[in-house]
Amino acid sequence: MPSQRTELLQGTLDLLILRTLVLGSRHGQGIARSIQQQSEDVFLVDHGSLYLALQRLETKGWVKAEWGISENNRRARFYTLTAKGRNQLTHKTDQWRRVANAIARILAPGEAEG
Amino acid sequence: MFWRKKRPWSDFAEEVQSHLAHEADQLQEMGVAPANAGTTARRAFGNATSIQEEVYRRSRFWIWDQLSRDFRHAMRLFWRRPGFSAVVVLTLALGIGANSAIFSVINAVLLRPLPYFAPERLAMLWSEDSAHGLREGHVSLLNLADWKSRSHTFEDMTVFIGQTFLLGNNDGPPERMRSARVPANFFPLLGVEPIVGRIFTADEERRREAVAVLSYGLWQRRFGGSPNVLGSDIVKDGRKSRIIGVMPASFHFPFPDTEVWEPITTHPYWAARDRTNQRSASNWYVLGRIRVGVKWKEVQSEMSGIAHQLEAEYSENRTRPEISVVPLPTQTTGRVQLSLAVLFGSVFLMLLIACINVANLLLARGSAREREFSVRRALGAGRGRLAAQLLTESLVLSAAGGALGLALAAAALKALIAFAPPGIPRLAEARIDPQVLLFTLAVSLFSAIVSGLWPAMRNGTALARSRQWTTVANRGVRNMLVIGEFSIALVLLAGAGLMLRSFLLLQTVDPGFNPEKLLSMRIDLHVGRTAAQEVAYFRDAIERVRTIPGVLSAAAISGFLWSDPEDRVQIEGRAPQQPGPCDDLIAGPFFETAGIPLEKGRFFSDQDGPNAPAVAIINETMAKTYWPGEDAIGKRFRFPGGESSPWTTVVGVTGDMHRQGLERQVVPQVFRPDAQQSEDMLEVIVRTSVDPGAIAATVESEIQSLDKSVAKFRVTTVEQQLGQQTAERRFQTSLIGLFSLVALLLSAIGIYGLMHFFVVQRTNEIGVRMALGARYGNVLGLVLRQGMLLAGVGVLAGILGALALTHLLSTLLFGVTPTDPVTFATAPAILLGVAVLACWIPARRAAGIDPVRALRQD
Repeated sequence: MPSQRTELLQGTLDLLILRTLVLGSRHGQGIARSIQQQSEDVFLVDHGSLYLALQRLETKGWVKAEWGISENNRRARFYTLTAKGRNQLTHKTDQWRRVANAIARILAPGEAEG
Repeated sequence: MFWRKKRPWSDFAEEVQSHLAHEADQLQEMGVAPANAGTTARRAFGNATSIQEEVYRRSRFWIWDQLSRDFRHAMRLFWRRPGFSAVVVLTLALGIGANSAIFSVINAVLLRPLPYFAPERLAMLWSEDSAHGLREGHVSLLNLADWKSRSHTFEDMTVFIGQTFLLGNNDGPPERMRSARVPANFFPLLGVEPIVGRIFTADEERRREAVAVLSYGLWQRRFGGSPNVLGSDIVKDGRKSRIIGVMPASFHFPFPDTEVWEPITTHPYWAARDRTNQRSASNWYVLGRIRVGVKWKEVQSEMSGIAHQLEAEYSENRTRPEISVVPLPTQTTGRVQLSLAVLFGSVFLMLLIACINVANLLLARGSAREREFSVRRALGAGRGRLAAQLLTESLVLSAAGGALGLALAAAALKALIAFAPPGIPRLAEARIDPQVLLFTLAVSLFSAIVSGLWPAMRNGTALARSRQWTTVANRGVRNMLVIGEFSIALVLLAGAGLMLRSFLLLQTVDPGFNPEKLLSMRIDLHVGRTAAQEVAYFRDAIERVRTIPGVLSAAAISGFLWSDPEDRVQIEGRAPQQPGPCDDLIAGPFFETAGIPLEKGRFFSDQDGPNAPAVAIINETMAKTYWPGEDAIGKRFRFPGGESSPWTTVVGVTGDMHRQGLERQVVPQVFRPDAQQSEDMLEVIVRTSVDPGAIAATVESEIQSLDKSVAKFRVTTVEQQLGQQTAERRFQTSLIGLFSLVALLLSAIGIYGLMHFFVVQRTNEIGVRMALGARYGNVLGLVLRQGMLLAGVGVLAGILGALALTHLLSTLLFGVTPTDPVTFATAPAILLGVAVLACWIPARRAAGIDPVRALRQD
């Protein structure tokens, strides 16, 4: 259902990646799949651009990466959330909730008040 | 953190491969056919290449990557054309090296702080009377006491005075040296401490104790640097002083040749201060330290105010009406500041010319590399990318030039120090130190940018046009560069010309005496003789020297080439006036020996003895100054003051003699017979018929045999002394001359290169012209005209520049104005002449082109 898919909002990809890593370290492809599945295929994640985001997060020190062996017995680069990244996640999640709530209230005032 | 930046490129590629493999695995699990799984995975990934590039670009280290690639490329080019590289590197090394050498001198002399505590707050204080031409005059103790008590901007003031003494020597004649007499607060005020022992206390100062602090040099020379020296004695002028300390090697204040510091109270003037210490009796040097945060302007205005008060309060005492405060660094180096600034300016101009030449060479090579750049652009290199590459190339060249230049500078510095005239303070301390290294680095970077920027920008824009004849645009820039080069060269040449003219004019000044074959030697009898003994000694010495074979005549004077005017003089029938003439004592046939003609009256005779009426011989300038239009013979004058001299009658007038240096105006001069007022130190002059240098040793031993206890020093020929007076000017003139010669040579190479290039580029056109009937002369003219047009425009611009700049030199000039027409005619002529020569070779080549061959080339 490609028509149901939507482009990610600016900055949300970072948040989604961090969120995915809360449960433990993962490699790039795993993160991509996980985001796709958890969003029930709503979000269109270009796998390539995921790596740009990962690189950015790595540079900021929110995630760290290490080569390891995957469940498929292949070499893969595993990303882990750092303490700094965890703080960011909490902060960004709060921020996102507030924004989402605010937008929801504006778009459907009755529902929100009710 | 850092390792992330260094993440190798292949690492990311591997991660992408890993991703695609995992995705394909998963797709197969979901039932996609293995054949399609790989493709689908790649499709889901998007544009892998562009992502990889994006990651690469964001990973920051690509700048390094690019730089190191450019660097390697530049190194390859560097070695591929060793001749070209050598020329560029040598040119830059010459410019950079000369700059570094001059800078290391400036660094040592002007920039490095003096070796005292907070030297920027130290200042010399002088009593002045500018209305009477008295600058930087000494200070009276009474005035100093008032300055000290009334000033609030000064933390403290100290006073000192110099005195020469004879240091007893067990074997051989005594050594003459200088001691500084200072109060106990002198050392703390400067913030210096002895390295061995201690300095004297205020109590010792008050009790006038014979204690001495030695200089490091004297300690090493005479006492082998032994710490046991403390408590032992040195014998000065036959009296013992107890050694209590040694100052560090770097400490030479106040006189460069200070060997001993002693309590100021031991100076004879101190003992006599009650008798002679009037506000006008000024013998003392004053050094002060201003408070933290006070500005020099405030200090000067406060001291000027105090001077006004004192002048009003003590008007009958004829105190000097002004006080000048000169910061110590300025006092030490003020005299050489301008000279060094001029040298630095000229050497910098020379560097500019060197850079322009290199820029020209790079541009020429740029046109040769057009194909390379076109290919690079076609492959997607941006303009900035190409410019960066060219700049890297010129950086490599400048770095090599800088390294070689540093070696050149080290060698040049040694030569500079060896050949420099004496008297440039702290020159010996000049060396290649971290500041000089930093400076060299900066100059190299500057050279890289100046020489590389034009080519870089030019190649950027030229390539933006079509490949067709970018050289036309290129030539425009190169023309500008050659014009600039010639204008700078002219400025340098005009400066050097003015300095050279001054130097030559100075050589033509008639000193008023005959300096050839004239030996001079100072003899110091020092204390402990009566006036009659002193007179007798010099009479005997002159008599003895005269009998030496090869000696024509001998005489003595209190100072042959050096004399300071007296403060005041009183002409009979007039009020005392300031300043007075120079006053010197002579013994023996002085005027005959020196070769000074008698204009009027008579010389001294044996009748002008101690009990006869006081007589004097004056110079022409004195006669004209004090008795204009009158006959000076028989007129009387005297020197008023503490112990005013008797009325003295003028008995003779002699020709003027340049005693204060050839550059200075002749001042009024009095000569008096030493029989009427003896002195313990005279300069003996000896006229010889043979080489005076060869006879010096005989003269010395003859004097030695007369009395072993006297000190002889500064044995030189008068020609040498005159040479020293002009040494500084000669040195400076030769340096600027050298720089402008290099500039001339570089400009010649520059215009030669451009015209050569011009001919090569237009071989075709010239071939056509010749085929159509142009003669040898026409073609020669075509090239010469082109070259001379550039040189001419450059020279014109240079003349304007020189006219604007040479006035900065005015205080260094002698006998010429900063816009001296001779210089301003000669310098352009030389430069244009060189340009003709430089253009001649390519012009000949052009005229010799075989039209058939030239046309066949295409």
